[in-house]
Amino acid sequence: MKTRVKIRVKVNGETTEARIESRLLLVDYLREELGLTGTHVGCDTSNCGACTVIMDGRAVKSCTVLAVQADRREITTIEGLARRDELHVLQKAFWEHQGLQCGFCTPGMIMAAVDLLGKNGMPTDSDVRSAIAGNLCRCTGYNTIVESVLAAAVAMREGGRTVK
Amino acid sequence: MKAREDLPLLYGKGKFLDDVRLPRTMYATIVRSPYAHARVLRVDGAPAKRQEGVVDVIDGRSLEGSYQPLSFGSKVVKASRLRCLAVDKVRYAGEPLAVVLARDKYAGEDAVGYVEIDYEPLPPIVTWEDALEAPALIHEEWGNNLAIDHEFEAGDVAGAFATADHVLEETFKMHRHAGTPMETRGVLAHYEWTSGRLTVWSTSNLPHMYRTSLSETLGIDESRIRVIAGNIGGAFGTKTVPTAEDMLIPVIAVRYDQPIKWVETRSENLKSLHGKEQVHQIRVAVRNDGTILGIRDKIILDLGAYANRTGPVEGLNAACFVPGCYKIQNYAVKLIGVVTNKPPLGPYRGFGKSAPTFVIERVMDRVAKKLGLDVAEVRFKNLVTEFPYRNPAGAVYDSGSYKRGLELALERIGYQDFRKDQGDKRAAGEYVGIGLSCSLDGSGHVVKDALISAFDGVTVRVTRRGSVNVLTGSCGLIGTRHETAFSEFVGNTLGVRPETVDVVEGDTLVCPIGQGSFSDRTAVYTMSAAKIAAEKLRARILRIASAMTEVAAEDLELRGGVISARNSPGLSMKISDVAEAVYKRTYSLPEGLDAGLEETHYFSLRDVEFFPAAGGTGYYPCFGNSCHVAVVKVDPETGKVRILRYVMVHDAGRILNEKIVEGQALGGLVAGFGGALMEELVYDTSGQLESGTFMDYLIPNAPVVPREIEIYHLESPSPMTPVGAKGAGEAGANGSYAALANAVEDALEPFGVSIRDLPLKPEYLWRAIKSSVPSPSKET
Amino acid sequence: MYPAKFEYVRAKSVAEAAHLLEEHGDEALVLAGGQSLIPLMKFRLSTPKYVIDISRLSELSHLQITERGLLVGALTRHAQLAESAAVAEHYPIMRDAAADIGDVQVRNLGTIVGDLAQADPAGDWGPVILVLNAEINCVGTRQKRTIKAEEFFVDSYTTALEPGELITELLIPSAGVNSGGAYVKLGRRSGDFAVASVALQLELTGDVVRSCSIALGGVAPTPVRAVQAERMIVGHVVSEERMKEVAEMVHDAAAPISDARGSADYKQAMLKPLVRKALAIALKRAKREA
Repeated sequence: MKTRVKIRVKVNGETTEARIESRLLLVDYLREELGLTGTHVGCDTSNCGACTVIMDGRAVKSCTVLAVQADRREITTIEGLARRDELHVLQKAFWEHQGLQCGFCTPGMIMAAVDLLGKNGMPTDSDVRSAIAGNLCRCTGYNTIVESVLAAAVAMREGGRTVK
Repeated sequence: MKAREDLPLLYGKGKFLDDVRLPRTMYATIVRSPYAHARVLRVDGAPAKRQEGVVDVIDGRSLEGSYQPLSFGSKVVKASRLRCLAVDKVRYAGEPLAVVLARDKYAGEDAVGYVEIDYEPLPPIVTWEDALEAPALIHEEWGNNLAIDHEFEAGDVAGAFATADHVLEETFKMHRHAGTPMETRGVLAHYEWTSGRLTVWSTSNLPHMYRTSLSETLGIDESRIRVIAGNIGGAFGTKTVPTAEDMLIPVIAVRYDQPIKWVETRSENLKSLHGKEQVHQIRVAVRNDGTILGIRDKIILDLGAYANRTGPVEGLNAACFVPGCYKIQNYAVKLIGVVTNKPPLGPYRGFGKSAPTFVIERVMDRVAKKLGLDVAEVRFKNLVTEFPYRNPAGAVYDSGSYKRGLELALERIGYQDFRKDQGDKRAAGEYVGIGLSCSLDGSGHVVKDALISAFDGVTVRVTRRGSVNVLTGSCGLIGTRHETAFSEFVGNTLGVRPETVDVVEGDTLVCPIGQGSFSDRTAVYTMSAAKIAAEKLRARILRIASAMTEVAAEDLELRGGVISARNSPGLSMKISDVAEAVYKRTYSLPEGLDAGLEETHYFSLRDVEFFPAAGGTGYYPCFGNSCHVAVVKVDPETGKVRILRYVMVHDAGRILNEKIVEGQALGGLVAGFGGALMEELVYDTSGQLESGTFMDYLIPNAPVVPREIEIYHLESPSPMTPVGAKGAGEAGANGSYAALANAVEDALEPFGVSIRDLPLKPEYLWRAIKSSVPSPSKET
Repeated sequence: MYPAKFEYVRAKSVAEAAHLLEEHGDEALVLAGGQSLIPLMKFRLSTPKYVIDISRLSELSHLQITERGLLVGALTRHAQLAESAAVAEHYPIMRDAAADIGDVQVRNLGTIVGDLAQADPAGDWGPVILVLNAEINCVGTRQKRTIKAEEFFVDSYTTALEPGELITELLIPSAGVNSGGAYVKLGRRSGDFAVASVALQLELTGDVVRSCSIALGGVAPTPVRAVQAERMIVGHVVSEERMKEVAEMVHDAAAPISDARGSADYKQAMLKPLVRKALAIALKRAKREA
């Protein structure tokens, strides 16, 4: 049985290549093969969203994607958002509005917000809650996270920037 | 000041346990019992050892003698021992039995199914009734299934009941649920046999305690054990050590040259440490005017399979806090702690406080209903108003704002208006309800003659170029924003810019011996230690500056890192100048002062009076308080509860950073919402967990939480510590179960539903409505 | 937590996929979005030796309105259906279902066809395609055929697909001018599978219901049509009274089992408010009032 495959995945703008087991989950490809440990694992039933990354422009749960499914696709992880010293508008908003406490759910939360703001530049409170309904947090109680995303949306509109 | 500790997390560069990578690490996959109760006849790891990538398979028998099982017990709790791996018997489904060591976690999982184990199933004990009936014994040497059988009485309880106008009798139940922080637990242990040094990276927020336990277990001197806590993805009590796995991984690591890593899966996590399960059979003596004359409570605590270090405290605390915020001096409590074939009970946010608050606050509403009084009125009638106040259990409430808090909460929610509109709404088929609770929020828990002690240590050190390190015995990177809190507080106390202060916690190699952070103790002990250390260091700096400038120390000011003289406007010296003198020109130091610019202080509370009701084993020095009002709407057709508004008036003593306090309060509230409305560890009659994944163990997500949550702050500083701050982490979880339960019962009043159990799941409410039996309070 | 080892094959055409499926029989499973398959594989409840990835096949990626109706290629994601203006206009019942499945991340990858093939008794799409009288086009090594929605679901997790067959597309027939539908589900929390759900599609002539289909989810091994309840509506104006009667009838048509999501009697009782809500929305939409 041929259990290994060769994949070529663009991650945060850089092309990566590896020969991996076909069963390797994308989250483990990112964390173990590439050392990008910003994407986290919080459950085993695809419920918590801590592993959320962007694949070809859409938020996906990297624990529910095989690395081989990402072959020839583009992935953006939390590490790919900021430019050098400049925080992405979402990271800045989470910082200013206390959208995190322990920080474990934060990368997944932010990537889910990237997906939302890419589709909807003027989300309502309710839109934001739906967009992050698949991202669980045990520390904050969510309201500061919602505030952070709404603030980021405003900042984006005022700054004339896109979310990418 | 924005929180510096957030930056690595925002960039995705946090260092959580599973992010720590060491070369040649082997992965541990744990084999767990599928049975709730069984004898273990045979464990054969050989077939698993032959699988690809497997290095070794270890069973309980092979570890016997290589470590000293930790022992627990006190004068109120039966003694027991914690084994890393079960040997003869398994006592809960999920109990560790064997370990597969493999080169990676995928290979480990492949091999686990090949470990052959023969069991002889035994009758499972699932409920407390089963435990008392005892068709089987969980710990044979005990002769029964009782770990705790403790009684306490104070005041004139018989007299209270004899003179009562009414006696209410109720049974209230708090269900089994769990903390489930987003990061599960994990251990990475590496033993360097050449130097005899053991390093353990851990998710525990009690690194020093873990180090001591490791020393006891392994027989290695603490001085050669280093425990490191990096970023921790939430704890809420579930990462206080020690559990079997916390000991197991280091015990294995000392046998190998390679590091050993274990990261818990969520399914394992949901079977690891549970919270709060208890029943209260309570009798309340009441006077017609609403005064509570006395209480008799029988508490049955379901400890799970093992009475470990912390599980019993859930009941011992509850025994002390049933009187709540009220002036009740006649109190008798009996605490029965049973063992059952379920995972052990441990601390979870609202530890021994959510449950008794739920009980006494439900009692208040029931009393109001019985006597035809308003629910707020009954509370005002009984609230403690003068401090310090000694409750009958022996707990002394140091300061508080119970009355003012309730007044403010009622005002902010618009209580009178709500009641006015409620009738019309009901007539229109809208079942809205309002529920109150007054919650005691004890902080700084101390356990008698144990490692959870009434002190903590802080070192403040000025470096050679004048910046500052703060090292504490606490453990900060769990989301409680210690870096911000300490750098601000120490910076301001010492007289330097907070941006120049860097805080180090969680590493036993460099930090003063402390307790870690839990039970809101940082606000109580660690902040106090930081204050005194910073003040001492400030005095030292000014003495040296005085010698350097020939201005009297009392005329010097240190602010923002700059020393100035009140009477000499031209004088300006930087703290780095002082540091330079100290570290480079020791000959210039004044008489009596040696080199070094640091102070360490261990703040200690001496007058610790352990609570008699807890068998003299537990103590809290400070009590915050919170007043909660919940407004809910219930759909009687589906049983669904929607929280419309929530007001919490929070008194956490002196506030050092309001944003941090608010974050903690809101987080605690939502944890309580989850526990009260949707979370439940459901066990079937054979001791199998039915809600064992996040598919069925549902915790709140963003749509569950209403935007309309208001948190207000009052400050009743604690006279117990120099800083006066009390903890802020548990208040939300302490009071919310009660407020929601009361609100739901109020909403369903037309149906005659009585809320005695949690959670308030839609189906349970639907069923209660269908079979609505009007108010069943028995009367004598 | 991690799947067992398997051999991964990326099908280069539908024909190749069918061929591989037939060759490997029950040792092979199809991977499209993977949102049902991968969770099962992670718990090793599913341990295929061969995983046939069809997700790159352009011949399965269409979503378009034709004269016959809506053609939904097998790779159409829930998110596409939730975001499509055409679907929102012509088949709002599909938008209801698509927008509420799981969460955003699941919807971005999961496919309607994957959900149907999985045949989870609480699946969202089953009741919807039943009331829309959808046709399921399949391809095998020797034949192409069309399976009608009402023949598709055989038992829980079991469909009428033969070994070696895979679904290539769905055809949702055009709905009449004065038609409207709705999909309503009750979950324990957002993101949850249905405790119970109702799909309802009707057509009006004036105020009178000309045709009506009601399908129930989560209350039987497969999605089921509430035929007697349908008969109660067809040919009538839907009054408050009739709505109540229909709700009772639907309740009686269900035979759910007790499980983690709810007891049988609770699920059954929930059908009443669900069908009333679905009916009210469907009527509004049919009258173009929504």
